[in-house]
Amino acid sequence: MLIELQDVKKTFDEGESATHALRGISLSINKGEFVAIMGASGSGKSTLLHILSFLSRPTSGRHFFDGKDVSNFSLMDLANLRNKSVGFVFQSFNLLARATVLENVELPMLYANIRPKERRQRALIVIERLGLGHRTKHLSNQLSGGEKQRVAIARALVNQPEVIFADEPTGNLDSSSGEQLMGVLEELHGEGKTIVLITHETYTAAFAERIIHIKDGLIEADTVVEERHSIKDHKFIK
Amino acid sequence: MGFFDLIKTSLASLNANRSRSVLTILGIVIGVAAIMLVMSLGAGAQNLILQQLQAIGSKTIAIIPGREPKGPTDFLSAFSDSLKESDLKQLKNPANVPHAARVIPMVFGSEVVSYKNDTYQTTIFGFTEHYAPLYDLYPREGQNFTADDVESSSSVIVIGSKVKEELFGNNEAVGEKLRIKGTTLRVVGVLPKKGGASFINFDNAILVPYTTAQNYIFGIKYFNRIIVETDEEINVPVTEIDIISTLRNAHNITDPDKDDFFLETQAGAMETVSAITSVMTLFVAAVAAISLLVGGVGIMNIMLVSVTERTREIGLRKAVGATDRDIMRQFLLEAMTLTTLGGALGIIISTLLGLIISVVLSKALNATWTYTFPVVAMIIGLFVAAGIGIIFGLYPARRAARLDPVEALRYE
Ligand SMILES: Nc1ncnc2c1ncn2[C@@H]1O[C@H](COP(=O)(O)OP(=O)(O)OP(=O)(O)O)[C@@H](O)[C@H]1O
Ligand SMILES: [Mg+2]
Repeated sequence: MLIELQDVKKTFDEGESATHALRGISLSINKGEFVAIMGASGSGKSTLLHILSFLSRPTSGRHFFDGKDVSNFSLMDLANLRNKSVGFVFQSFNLLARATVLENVELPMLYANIRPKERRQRALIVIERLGLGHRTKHLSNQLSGGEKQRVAIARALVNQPEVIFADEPTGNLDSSSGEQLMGVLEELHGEGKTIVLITHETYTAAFAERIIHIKDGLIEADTVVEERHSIKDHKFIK
Repeated sequence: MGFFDLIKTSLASLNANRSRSVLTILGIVIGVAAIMLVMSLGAGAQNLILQQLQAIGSKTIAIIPGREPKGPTDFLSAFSDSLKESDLKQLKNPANVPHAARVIPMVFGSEVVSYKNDTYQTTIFGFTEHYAPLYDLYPREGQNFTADDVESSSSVIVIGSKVKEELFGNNEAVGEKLRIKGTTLRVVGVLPKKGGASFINFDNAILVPYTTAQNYIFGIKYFNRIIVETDEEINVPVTEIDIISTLRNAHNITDPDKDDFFLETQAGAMETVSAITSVMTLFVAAVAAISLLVGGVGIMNIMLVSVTERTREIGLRKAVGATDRDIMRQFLLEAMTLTTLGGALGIIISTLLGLIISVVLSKALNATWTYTFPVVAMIIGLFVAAGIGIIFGLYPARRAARLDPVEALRYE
């Protein structure tokens, strides 16, 4: 078991009115699993993902990662976990606009204190792998949405994390680029990476092995995907 | 994050906002330049005055009548008639002041001198003939008055180069007669142009035997100064003591607070001048330092704007593993880089201005105004600039570092 949550609650206090975004979530995710999280807007999907990916801490409950109780980890330790153990892909890409593709991909390694030479080598390998070799020196705001999201994946991969977290990664992409992206995630899963993906689309969710449905901050259903999609039977790309 | 990467990151984001960065550091540039300029001009002025003090001679002691002024309101004591002919005799006595090589009385005052129909305002100095070796000042035309002239109150004068020019133009002055307060005096010598290298402006002066000045021009029986020249510089302190005890004896003074004279030496004057110019310089520099504070507030303001603008960037950096400390350092370093660059620019500008000003002043004052590159001030300036970056960057940097990553990533 790689990830485990026990009765995790998250409450946002804003003066008098408190929002109970998560109201007692317990779940476990195994190493190498491909999990999709679905649910209505405002149901608490992103809040859950932020806790799973060490971006925020639960209000109560326990959070285990790789056998360690990280519920009481310091901010510094959490930053270190974000740096080394997980990678992110956001709906809105979140690339540094005035930096090149290479610089964007190198960014996590900067905070891992990796030497410039190794940084460059490793970044170039990942960039090449995602088919962006010809874009290395381009500024990230000169890229198309699909390319941007692949840079984001390269950035997520470059520190060789255990888990990739993706919050609606295809949300800002056209269906062709979206599908291409799912192909990349599928491939990473094939190599043994654990993947946790938030999506609205049943079609995208069906790339995963398992779907967790969230409603009003609680798990409504946790199902195994019977008929999985694969990039091999994609509709849009030849 | 390594230090080198930190610098690269900071420079990159400053470069991305180049014109804003330049405008932001203007306050620091002006502040540092102003302080540096004041410091170097202060040092220059001090040099100039000290240079003039050199001309007094390091072996001489001036005895000044009256009580030493102890404060700005103590000016009345400047008028005093306590130094008399009898004091001169006592001081010349080797039993009293063994190291006195020369004892030269001095009277002075401002008078109008007339030649034919021209009149001219000058300063009259009554001396013995020994002023010449004392000030290394010998007539370039004619000759000096003599000991006999002093003895017999002769009506002879030596005139400064400017006086000569004003009254005689290119004509011969030696042998001509001038009138001062109804007394006719004969010009026996004309002084060379001496310039501003002394406190006494000899160019615009008329020198007479002191006896003549006392009896015929000012009508007084006392001296305005007595100059004692010692045989060796190292004997100045002991001679000061000798003079004081001699004069106290002569004036029947037992309580030092009742002294009706005081002494001035080159060393003492230099100390006073240094102290005064240093205080003045520091004061003006402190005023200039206010602009540094204003500049610092400007830096803080811009850094806060920058933190707000880059909220998402901060969120992203945190998401990929930046610690609070990494973010804090990045923004602190940005502020520091800005102010240090500002400081460096200020130093360059003040150096250029200082050089120009020193050339202009040298011409204007007809003296050598040396530009001193204030190395210490430069180093201090750089450190202060960097320090201002740290101080005023601290608050914005902390704000950046403490941003919650989720909130920051959601920021529109
Ligand atoms: N920082 C916050 N402060 C206050 N309330 C918050 C905060 N973050 C989330 N919430 C609230 O918590 C609830 C869950 O939000 P969350 O972003 O997890 O939903 P979501 O399932 O990701 O929705 P969407 O599909 O629209 O992205 C919402 O009601 C939201 O308004
Ligand atoms: Mg969401």
